[in-house]
Amino acid sequence: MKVKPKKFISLDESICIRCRGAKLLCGKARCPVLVRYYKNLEAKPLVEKKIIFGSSPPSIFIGRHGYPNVYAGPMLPPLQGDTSYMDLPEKWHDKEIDDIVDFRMKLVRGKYRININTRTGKIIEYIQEVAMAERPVDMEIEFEKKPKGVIALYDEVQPHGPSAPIKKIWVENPKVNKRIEKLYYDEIKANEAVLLLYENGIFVSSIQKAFSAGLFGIEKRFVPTRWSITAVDDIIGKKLVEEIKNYRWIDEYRVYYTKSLDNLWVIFFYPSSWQYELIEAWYPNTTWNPLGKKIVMYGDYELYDGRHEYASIGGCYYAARLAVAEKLKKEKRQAGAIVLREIHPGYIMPVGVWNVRENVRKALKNEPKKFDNFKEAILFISSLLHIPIKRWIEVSYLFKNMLYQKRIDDYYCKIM
Amino acid sequence: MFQGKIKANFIKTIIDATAILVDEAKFKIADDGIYGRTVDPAHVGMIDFKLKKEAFDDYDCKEETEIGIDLDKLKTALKVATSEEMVELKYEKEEGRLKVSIGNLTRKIALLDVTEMPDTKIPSLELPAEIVISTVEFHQAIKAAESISDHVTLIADKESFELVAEGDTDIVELRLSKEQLYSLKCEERVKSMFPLDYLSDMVKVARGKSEELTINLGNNYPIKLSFEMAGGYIKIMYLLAPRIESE
Repeated sequence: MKVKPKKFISLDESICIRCRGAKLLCGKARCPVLVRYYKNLEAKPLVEKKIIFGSSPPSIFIGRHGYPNVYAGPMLPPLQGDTSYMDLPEKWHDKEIDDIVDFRMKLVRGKYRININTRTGKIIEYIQEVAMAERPVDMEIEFEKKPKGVIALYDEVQPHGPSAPIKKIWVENPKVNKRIEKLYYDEIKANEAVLLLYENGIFVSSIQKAFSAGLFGIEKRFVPTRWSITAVDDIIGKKLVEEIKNYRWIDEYRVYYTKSLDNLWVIFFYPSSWQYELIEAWYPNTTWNPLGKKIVMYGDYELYDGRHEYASIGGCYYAARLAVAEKLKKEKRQAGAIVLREIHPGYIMPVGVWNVRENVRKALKNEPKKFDNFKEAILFISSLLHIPIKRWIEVSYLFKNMLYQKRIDDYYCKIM
Repeated sequence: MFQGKIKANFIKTIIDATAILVDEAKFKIADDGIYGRTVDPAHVGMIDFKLKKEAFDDYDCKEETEIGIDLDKLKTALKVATSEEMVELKYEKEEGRLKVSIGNLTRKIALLDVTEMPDTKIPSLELPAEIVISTVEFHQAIKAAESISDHVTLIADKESFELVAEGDTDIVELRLSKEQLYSLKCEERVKSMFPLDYLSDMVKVARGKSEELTINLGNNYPIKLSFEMAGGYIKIMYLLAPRIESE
């Protein structure tokens, strides 16, 4: 059974949640939510010089405006040494929003206009080498003008600092990851390259970097950073889901939870064939519910055969699915999974979709609370959440299905 | 060893009918025909089919056996045949593959291990109402319902059969009197609700294959849908668990 697209709900308050600064559904030229953040941040110029020397974590950024002619380039801080943490979301789960913003603001983005299909040129080679690098890469960039801006925010991509067009660039010879380098020369499909690296324990964020630099595939091309993040989450998640479908169902109901960046995460696993849902509840005055007086709840789900259409809530759906599937794959078990996320008012700005992936992973590392039946599990879930369980059930396709949809098994004669 | 020749349309229908619920299925090949019974991964829908040897030209089965089929593969193999063309199926235990011949073209399909595939039992259900309806008309109503809702309610009483779906703003209804149906047997009023994604796939399989569709219905209880082809030598039956919102 394939999932049909959800019907459109015309609620003004839900516009931001479906758009998240990407589609400009409100009809304005710039996202007013993001503009507000920029204004609130004091505009103290971080970089006063046109030339910066520093160690790139390594990091690159491929824009999406003007696609297929986009701005691409490395990012570097005016600092030298081990800057690797600056572009490694896998290590950020114990950080506060302020810490993350603080070090991400230091990353200056070099911009160079390229066509995504271009394969030659010094700068293009540099970008690709940086994307392959295993550890920080020293580089010097001379910009056309002083880098502009304080911080750039996105929903799916982690924020970064000011940016400017590149005039001249020098990059040290980086130590490249041998596996990534080998895949670059191999003529294998991008999907297969992603899966191979993942199976070899390469960080998802590193795979995404290499993917956006167009290192993989038969026809290699650059991919905007934003798209590459979700593409990689989706490729890996889909593969893991196919594998867990071969495993036995879990026997009990499990509840995992964690808190981070004023987000509350509750994850429910139950005995079932694979199905998955993510529901987010945005409190008023959180990033994507800036105007609302009420909590806005939105979700997407898939049944056994997956989705036909891109999830309306965006990249977070695929990021959480990867984390959930990863856990089940590790245990060699199959289950249904519902991820509930309450975004409380302390979540003041978007930090990127890594937040979803890493926090679901973190929650799933905890010992779960286990229950023999659905009712007890739901009671426990309801004690964790601030929003009444009734409202979650109203929004949730899978909860309703569990409560109301009978199974053939319910009709076998109980007495032999 | 098993060997048989059958019209492509017949075997395609069996495969399509099963494929709406599962990707892989176990078929039993016996001396009087081929049988299959499977539930979908969520255990909401079930298919039970009988493909009698009379539906074949030449049917020969020396020893009863079970084979595991990757339905997608078989579907692709059958795609090259027009619906009236004859397909020859052959299976020999030693080879472990199903040989599908269409004209001079043969394809050997690797089979799946059946030891991992559980046997499925049909629950014994008492379904007080039996409705025989035009497949085309029922399919039309299901399609209309699907455009506004995820589930549909079916109601039968002594005089009529009714289908109702309620969306956020719109309502779809089909009401047929006893005279407008092929037949209606119902002593007391029964009413059950079903998920449309399953029901719609099931009815779609029947459309174009059989003019009549038999519906067995109860009160907040599973539904049984059945139809026949090839003069009754092919029987396909679906069970679908209800949705009960009052609990």
